[in-house]
Amino acid sequence: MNRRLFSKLHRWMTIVVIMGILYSIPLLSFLQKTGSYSFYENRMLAEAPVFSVSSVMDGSFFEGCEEYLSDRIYKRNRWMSAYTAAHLHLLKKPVVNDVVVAEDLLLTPLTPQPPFLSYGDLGVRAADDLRRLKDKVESVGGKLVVLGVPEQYSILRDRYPFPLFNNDVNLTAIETTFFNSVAQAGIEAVNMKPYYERSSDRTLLYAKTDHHYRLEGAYLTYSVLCEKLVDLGLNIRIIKEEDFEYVELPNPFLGSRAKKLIGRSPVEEHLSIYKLKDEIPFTRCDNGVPVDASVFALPNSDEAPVEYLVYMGGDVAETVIQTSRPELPDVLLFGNSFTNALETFLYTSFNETRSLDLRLYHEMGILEYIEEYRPDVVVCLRYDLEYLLQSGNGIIE
Amino acid sequence: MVFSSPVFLFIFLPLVFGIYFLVPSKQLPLRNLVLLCFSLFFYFYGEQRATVVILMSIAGNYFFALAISAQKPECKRKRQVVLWSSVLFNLGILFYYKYANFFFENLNLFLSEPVEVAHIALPIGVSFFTFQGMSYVFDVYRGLPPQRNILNVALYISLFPQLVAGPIVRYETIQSELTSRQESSELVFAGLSRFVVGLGKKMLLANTMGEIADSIFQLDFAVLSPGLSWLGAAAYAFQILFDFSGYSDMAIGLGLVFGFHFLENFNYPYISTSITEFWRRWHISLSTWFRDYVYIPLGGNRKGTGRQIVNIALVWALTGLWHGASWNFVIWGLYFAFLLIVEKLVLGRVLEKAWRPLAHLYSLTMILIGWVIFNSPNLEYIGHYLSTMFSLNIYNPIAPGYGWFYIQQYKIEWILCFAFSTPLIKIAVQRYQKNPTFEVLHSLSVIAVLLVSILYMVNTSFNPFIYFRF
Repeated sequence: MNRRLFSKLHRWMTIVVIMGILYSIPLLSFLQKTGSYSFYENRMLAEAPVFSVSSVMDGSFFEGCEEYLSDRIYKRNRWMSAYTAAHLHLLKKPVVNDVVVAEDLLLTPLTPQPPFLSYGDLGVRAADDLRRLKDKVESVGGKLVVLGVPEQYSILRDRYPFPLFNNDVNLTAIETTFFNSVAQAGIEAVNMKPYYERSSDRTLLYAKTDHHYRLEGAYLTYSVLCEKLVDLGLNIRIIKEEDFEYVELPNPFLGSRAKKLIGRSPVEEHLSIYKLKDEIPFTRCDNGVPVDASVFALPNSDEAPVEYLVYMGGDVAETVIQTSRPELPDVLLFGNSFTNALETFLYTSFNETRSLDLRLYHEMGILEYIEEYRPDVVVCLRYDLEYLLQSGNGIIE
Repeated sequence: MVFSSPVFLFIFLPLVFGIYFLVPSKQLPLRNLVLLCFSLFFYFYGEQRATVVILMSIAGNYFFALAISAQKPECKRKRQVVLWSSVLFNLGILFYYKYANFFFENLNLFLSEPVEVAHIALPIGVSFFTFQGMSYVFDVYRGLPPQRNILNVALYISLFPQLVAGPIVRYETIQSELTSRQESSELVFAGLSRFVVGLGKKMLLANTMGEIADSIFQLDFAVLSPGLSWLGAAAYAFQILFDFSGYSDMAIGLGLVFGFHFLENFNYPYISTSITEFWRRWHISLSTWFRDYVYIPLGGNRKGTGRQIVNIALVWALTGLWHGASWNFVIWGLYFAFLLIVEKLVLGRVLEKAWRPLAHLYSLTMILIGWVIFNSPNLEYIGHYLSTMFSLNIYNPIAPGYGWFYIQQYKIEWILCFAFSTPLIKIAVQRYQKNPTFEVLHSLSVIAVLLVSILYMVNTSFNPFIYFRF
């Protein structure tokens, strides 16, 4: 082919391809039908902005256009998945989409920070709050136990690959400060970390791809907690491992960290549920509404990926499980999503199990709630990143 | 609207290309009108209420240029009065919108009863379009014919490719192209390729380096080791290079598509062997603007060494201040003034004879120190950061070896940054460009860079343009 003709042809073809990309993406984006929810990002997608003179003049219309187009771009999930795959497999980055890809494990990346010097004051403040809680629980004749559980990256902090930062100094200082302060305030507390550390493989207790413990970790937590309650004089029956059997779900588990990798996680794992050999009948109400008497929310097929929502159906403001065994005490458990897997065991040992997540429950404060329902036991579950915080489930009022 | 946003790439650009090229090429005034409307909308999109400022600048400079050309050349004094009026007008806009808050903040330090001034928002790109407006009047004063049609002045000042982040296009550069220009498939191809290269620099290199620089500059000083601080400075140096040169590439590329030839703004500044050379290669449109419109009219080097030193110091203090109303920018400008003066008086001759790697090392070290000053929020921070860089306490027990993470995580990006900051790739392209296979490979690379840039655009929310704030 003539050299000039070749150059001209190739030039035009390049122009056509570039223009084709610039024109086809917006066209296809407007033609495609998209939902309003982004599953992998766990958020609602931006809606089309409303046109008005004021929204144009204050710039919000244009900002809305930016967000709308970014969120609704043609095959957005595929672009995100391709980006993730390229970073994981081609560029082999140690941190992808804000997830540390360690050996057979997904962790959260941490910014290096110096040791914080004044944890003592925060410990005193946290203990003061818990003392008020204890006074209230005891005023209705109950017992308070503070249950401390570490987050996944905290319990597996030694698995961070070099040179990533694991915040060991601060995490240890927070843990020590919290449990020392609580002990000085005369509050019964259980620190689960040493129990988990005794395990030969902590990834049998904690998820590799999620920030929670696995059902096996929840069971260990349940049994240590119940033994503590028995020591405190409560008459409860603790189910033993021979009373149930674990059933591994065939579905792939999409943990919170794996989810950030848009289904491209190089680490695979499966969740378990359990079956009691002798069923304990119960009823369940969520936020005052009767729901199916089940502690596991199972998927419709064996192939569909499952999330941590399998346990108790995820976070609920208020759950009440009644087993109609008045000879057993009533328990109130409050805390964040770490309570979910624990609840699947806890109800077996109590007459009534109430669970609150104060991030979602706003009808009354925890002190008023205790006054109204007068439980025999109150379990305050804290995870170590929130030991010293006065937010979410740390708000005692 | 930034060039690397989906709205620009997938809505604005297809619309402006489509409508512009639908107008027959013989109807240049109509094509200009299309470009002007899109350019003003482009500005309005980001600055609704401040659009009036750019309209004011257009109208003012249009009338000042006409007023100058209305005077006979022998009426020097009258022409000078109009010229100085236009300077006051343009600097007045710049002072009010960019420096008034800074000025009164500092003035209040000396007043027993502080002057209260309502916060004045900085319109995007005010430094760029004001300088272009001044360039128009200066060039008419120097003898170029003024535009009788205000729409042409409006197009020159507001042309969207260079409107908000440069390069500062001198009127003399595109004066003839405003009324007569050639457009061709060669130019469209070259322009689109250049645009995509700029987009790639921005999305793939500048943003990534920006992530590193931001995270290191935000670290607690107790965590920062000397190695980490040098790494942060290097990352920022690459970020600002590829951010700004990427934007200039995009502007130059878009200009080519529409038949405009803007001058180059960067010429591999980090290969310089002196700071004098660095400033001939970095933000060329700004340094030549100051050279031709401030330094030379002040006397340049024609009035003795003492006066030359004063002129350099003044020009560089202004250059620093042009970048932002903050003392660290003034210090940054004076820092370079100091280096330029020292090189002019003593060091320049030494550097010319020095072993080249040593001269490179000197330049890069001084450049990195300059970027630390530039990127620091206040004077105290500059002191802490620089003292960490030169600290002998290399081991940091809190996060030992953490700098290695930034190398490991971004190894490909670092390699690309080093490669693209030198002319190696340009030389290879020039050497093989006649080869048909290479031509095809080049086009495929451009398309691949476009697709990968879109991939990053969809996935990353970190997308700032540093020079927008000027």
